[in-house]
Amino acid sequence: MVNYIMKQPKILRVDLSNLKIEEEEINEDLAHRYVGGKGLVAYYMYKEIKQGIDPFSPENKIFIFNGPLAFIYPTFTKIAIGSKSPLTGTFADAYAGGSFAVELRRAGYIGIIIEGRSDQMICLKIAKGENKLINCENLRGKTTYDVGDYFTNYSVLTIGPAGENLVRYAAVFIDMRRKPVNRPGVAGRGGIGAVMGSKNLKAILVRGWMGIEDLAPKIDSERRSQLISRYVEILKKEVIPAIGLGSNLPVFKVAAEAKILPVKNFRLGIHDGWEELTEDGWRKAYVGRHTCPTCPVACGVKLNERGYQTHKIEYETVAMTGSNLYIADRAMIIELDEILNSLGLDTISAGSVAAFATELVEKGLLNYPLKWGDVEGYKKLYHDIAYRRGVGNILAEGVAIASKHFNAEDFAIHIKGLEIPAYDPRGVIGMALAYATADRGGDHLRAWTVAAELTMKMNLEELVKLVIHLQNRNAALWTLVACDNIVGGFANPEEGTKLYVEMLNTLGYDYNYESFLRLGERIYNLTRLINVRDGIRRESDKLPKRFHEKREDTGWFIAEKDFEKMLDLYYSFRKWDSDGVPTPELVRSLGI
Amino acid sequence: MKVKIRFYGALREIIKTDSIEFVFDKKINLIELFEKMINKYPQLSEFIEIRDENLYVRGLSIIVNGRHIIFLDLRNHELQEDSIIDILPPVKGGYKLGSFNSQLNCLEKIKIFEHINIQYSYKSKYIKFIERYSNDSY
Repeated sequence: MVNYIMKQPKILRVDLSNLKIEEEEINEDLAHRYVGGKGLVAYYMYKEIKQGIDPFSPENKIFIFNGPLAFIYPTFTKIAIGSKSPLTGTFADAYAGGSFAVELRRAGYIGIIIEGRSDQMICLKIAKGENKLINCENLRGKTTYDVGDYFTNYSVLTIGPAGENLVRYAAVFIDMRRKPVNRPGVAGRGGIGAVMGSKNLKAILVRGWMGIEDLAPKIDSERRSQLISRYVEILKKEVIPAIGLGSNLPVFKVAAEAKILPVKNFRLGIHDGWEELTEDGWRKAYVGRHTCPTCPVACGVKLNERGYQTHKIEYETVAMTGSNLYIADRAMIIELDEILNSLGLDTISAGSVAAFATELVEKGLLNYPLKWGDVEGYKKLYHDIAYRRGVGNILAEGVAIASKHFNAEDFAIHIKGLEIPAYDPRGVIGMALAYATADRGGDHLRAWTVAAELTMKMNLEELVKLVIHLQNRNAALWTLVACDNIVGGFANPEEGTKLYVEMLNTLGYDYNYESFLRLGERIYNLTRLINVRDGIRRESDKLPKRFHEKREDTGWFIAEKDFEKMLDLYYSFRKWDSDGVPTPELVRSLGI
Repeated sequence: MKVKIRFYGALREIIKTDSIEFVFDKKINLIELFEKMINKYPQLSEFIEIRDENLYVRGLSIIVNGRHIIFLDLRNHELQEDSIIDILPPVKGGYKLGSFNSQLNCLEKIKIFEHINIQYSYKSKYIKFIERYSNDSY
């Protein structure tokens, strides 16, 4: 039970069919059991989304939650956005930085639930004394930048033309502006931008007004100061050195040298010219940094190469839309990135689809002007996808559905419909299990298993336990909502997590490290139950065929029997049955 | 029997080569191979350790003839002629191997928030607050 030492946060429930906006309170028991962020996304999705609904129907909902630590403590600037994914047909949650989480908190809300569908293009505005829905037909067809520049005095969460056209991997963008005032954010994965488009919801604008004295009047200020002081020391000594140039770009060199880059649709692990895409390469284009409000880390990087500029790029984009397509020209990667950002597409999925399409052309299965490294061809392709023109209409469905059309499922690189990000699991075996058991489909963030600071027994049981521990821990951290760029930089993640728990308890929560991990386990099993309800079983927890084949350059592969052995252990340690369903005893013990 | 070991990334700087070869006059298992490797290259002991016939690694991936070592029986898996062992470094941005509390050349000075051009009412209060806890530059 939460003994609130803060203003009780509320939810805004928005019915787009009837144009109604209402406030709801969260009871203390619910608040303590699920806290915020991913926890409340999962809870409300389980409770309110019926089995089998079409993700594009008015019955689908969008759940947008920050965490109780937003604004009260530095760096908790991520917002969790969840819905039933049009790519996977299952649970999807995505996370974005920028100012939205903080401004929503300063408006007194921990979350927004969007339901129904508007007849006209609409925007939701949240400001002091004026929560309302406004006609936004004038913004129909506008890019994410156009919308950000249109609403200058707000935090802006928006979609681009791809979302309006229901491209299944359309993303949600925050604070995109041609001259950004802070680091923008992208909730890229799972096609939640398309769900917004299906509801004719173009944007949500927030301008908060509350301060600490309003949000947490009874907080122990001295204790808060001590915790922030400890936290800033960790940020300075551990996290900021780990950030390097920023935007996770330092990862590129390590991935390249380990030959686990995605190249030509995961057929290779390295390519010519890769040195130009390392941190040293990008440093030549570096013009500055920016940060999310309340975060001193400043992990966002601003780049300008030969006049091509971007304020929103990171490792995944470089690898999936650069390396994967055999492009090593930084300026061209920036140009393609800006096109994808502007149109409102997830760069991981778009890069995967583009690589898939190129392989189709190479094998004579698709007649389209495209070849590896063809920047002009990819520009046309991304526009065709965003506007569903010609073959773009098929590719807009994602590789899983598109591959059925072309009878090319063998080289569709996805898990449960979500295209896989930029690390080849044949070189990083823990990621194979992490990808296959991630609750939103092929995803690397639920459990990042390869860490320099870990000394681990080279033993399958230990590896599987690590994957489970990380999934649980991260699910708990995403209730706050902690930023992965920071947690990934902790020299001692357990101590960092304990510090976060201490912060949470200053607001009236009552957690320790073990019960906090248990919270994460509860949430991870809840999202599994949502997926089980929509038909996910063992046969969905599998790798693409390509990963079971010897890679063309190194001969690395994952034997199917090895993977099944790993999955058996995973289910056993998770206390799921052999089909991957949480047992009733487990569900009861977790208090779901 | 010849066995080739290939190193990737920062491991090449540590071993000062990208591959080594061992020749054995009898069949060996993986534990024996790694024992020999660590004896010849003691600098590897920071990342690979053998304790009670178990292999402990610090963030590395080890692939034996294309298959990850975690699926193999270290004592009983027999290496064949011309086997290839690939040793991959940890994939983690910003840190150099062997120094996870590194003194990397890091960023130029960052003036916290001063580059944010927005009228957040709390901006100036937050800058003072962060500056109070950040006496030195980083």
